[in-house]
Amino acid sequence: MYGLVNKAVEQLVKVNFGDDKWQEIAKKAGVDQTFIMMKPYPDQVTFDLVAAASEVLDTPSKDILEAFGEHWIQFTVDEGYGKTMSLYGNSVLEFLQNMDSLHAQIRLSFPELRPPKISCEQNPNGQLVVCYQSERAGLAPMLVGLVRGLGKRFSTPVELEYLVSAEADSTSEKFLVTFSQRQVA
Amino acid sequence: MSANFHSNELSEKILSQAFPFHLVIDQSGEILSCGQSLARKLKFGEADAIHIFDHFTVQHPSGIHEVSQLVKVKNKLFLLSSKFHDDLVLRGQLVVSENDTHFVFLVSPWITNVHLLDKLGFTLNDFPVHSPMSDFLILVQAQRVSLNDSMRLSDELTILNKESEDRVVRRTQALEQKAQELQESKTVLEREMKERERVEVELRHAQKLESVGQLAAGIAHEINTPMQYIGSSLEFLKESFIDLKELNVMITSYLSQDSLKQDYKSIKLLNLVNEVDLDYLCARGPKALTRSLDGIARVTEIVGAMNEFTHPDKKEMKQADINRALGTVLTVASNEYKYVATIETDFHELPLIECHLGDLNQVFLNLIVNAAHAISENNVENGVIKISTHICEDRVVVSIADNGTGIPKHIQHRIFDPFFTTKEVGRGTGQGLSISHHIIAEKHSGRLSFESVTGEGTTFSVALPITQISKQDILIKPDDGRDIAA
Repeated sequence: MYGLVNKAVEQLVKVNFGDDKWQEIAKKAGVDQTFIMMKPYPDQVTFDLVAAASEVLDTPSKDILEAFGEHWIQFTVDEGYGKTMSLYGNSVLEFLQNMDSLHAQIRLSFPELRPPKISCEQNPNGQLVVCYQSERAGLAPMLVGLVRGLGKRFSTPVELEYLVSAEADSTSEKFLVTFSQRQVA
Repeated sequence: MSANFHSNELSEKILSQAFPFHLVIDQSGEILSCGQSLARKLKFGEADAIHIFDHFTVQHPSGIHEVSQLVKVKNKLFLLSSKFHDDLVLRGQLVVSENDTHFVFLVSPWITNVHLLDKLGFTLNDFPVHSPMSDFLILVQAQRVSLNDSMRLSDELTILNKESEDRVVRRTQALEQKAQELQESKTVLEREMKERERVEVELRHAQKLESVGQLAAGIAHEINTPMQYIGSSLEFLKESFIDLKELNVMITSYLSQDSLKQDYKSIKLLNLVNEVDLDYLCARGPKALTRSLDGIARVTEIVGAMNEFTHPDKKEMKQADINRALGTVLTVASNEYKYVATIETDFHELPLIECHLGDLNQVFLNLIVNAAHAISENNVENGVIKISTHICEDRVVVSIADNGTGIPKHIQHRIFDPFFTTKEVGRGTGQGLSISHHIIAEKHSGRLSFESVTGEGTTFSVALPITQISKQDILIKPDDGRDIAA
């Protein structure tokens, strides 16, 4: 994964738990470097960071990933990708539907990007059924947080529910997204 | 491809969707059509008759001011800048219709960063999907992220570098401080070792003196006894000479009678009297005995002084008469000075002072012997050691002045250092003044000072408090301003 992702993990920990905790986590994960945002790193670095954060913060990895997904939306906006993101939708549904296109365009700058495939449909109840498929196992909770982050970005509180029971090493998941206020697509 | 499709079938609507910033003008330069995004920005109404050069300047190619010139530069890169909207520059290509009746500018805003997009009031949605603008902006943003990243890393590196430098400075300072502390510890240790050495020397010296003292006391006792009966015997003999003198007068008078001049025994006795020279014996004998008695008295005095001088000190101070102590020392040390100097004393009446008299005797002896040595080295015929005492405020001051060699300026600061001496080997240990200073300053809270002129002489002054202040008093009143130490 790109350094941008690891940097986001670092920022999430620093903002919420302080620099000392980050130093502890980085040390436990064997990270002794400053991440360069546009440089690709082995996936294991990110996995080790999440595992170390889970241990140091005494929080399940799933919760860490969800928190990271939610943080990721604001992080990318802060890093200057807000304009690009706005091009891909003004609602949670629109954005999720266009996410593959967004990833395709982003690859212009991140040629080694290996993004998940995400598809989204709205059922007659106005709920969204989100299908997620990744070549990496265990990162589905990140999408949960990401959808919550999108809910915040578009001022649309959401609730998520696993349609298929989440497994730690799962590479594909299906979620049901319910809007607290009816989402107009 | 469809053979029925012709370029003139491209409707204005499709043209506007495909090129939302395009402009179409006729040969007069009037704008006939405008892309929807550009029209929104420029607020062009459909009924308005607008001339291209009223609103735009051709930046590139240069020198284009009339429509007729456009034919020559068709299919070239065009830059049109707005006369009414700063920063709005349209970039693209000029396409000219057949017969050169219509000129189509297929252009879009020249955007170099995202902020300019905001400033011009456009969004990415204003651009057609086929436009590379969004890709361009993503690349620009990626470049910006990289640049920010580089700046952040550079800042971190600068901070780390500064921290490293600070750490090195702090570490260097700490090391320097440690080195200084080490040096100070070394100095303290050296001082303590010197002090210990001095104390050991002093102790050995004191032990030796004590032994000598005990020995001297014993010898004094042994000498005193025979001296007493020698003296008594001499007195007896001296008194006996009076009788002998009377007897001689009587014998001489008796033998001078005429009746006895022929008497054999009388003649023999008279010859015997003349032979032993009884007159001479009677005249000289008492004088010889008087001199012997004087000698005995001198010996007794010296032995007494030695006994007093070597009397062992007690731990506690005792009240003592400094004038008397100086007299005793002068007696004991007479052999050291009597051949090189005369003694001049000027003793004022002094109160008894609290002191370790044995220690003070040693100090006075050191100073007097040093004075004698200095005079000896100076080869003066009229060597004088002046010893005076007086009271100055609450102190008794003893001055011992000589007209010896004096102490050269360059060694004056060292004379109280242990083992420092200028005397030849065997004549001085370099301990005398050091021990004296210790005795006066440390043991008696006094002051030992000197003034010296090379070639003229030296005056040592010993100032001793009449009453000793206890250590406790010193601790209680540390800042009372009194000069209680050397």
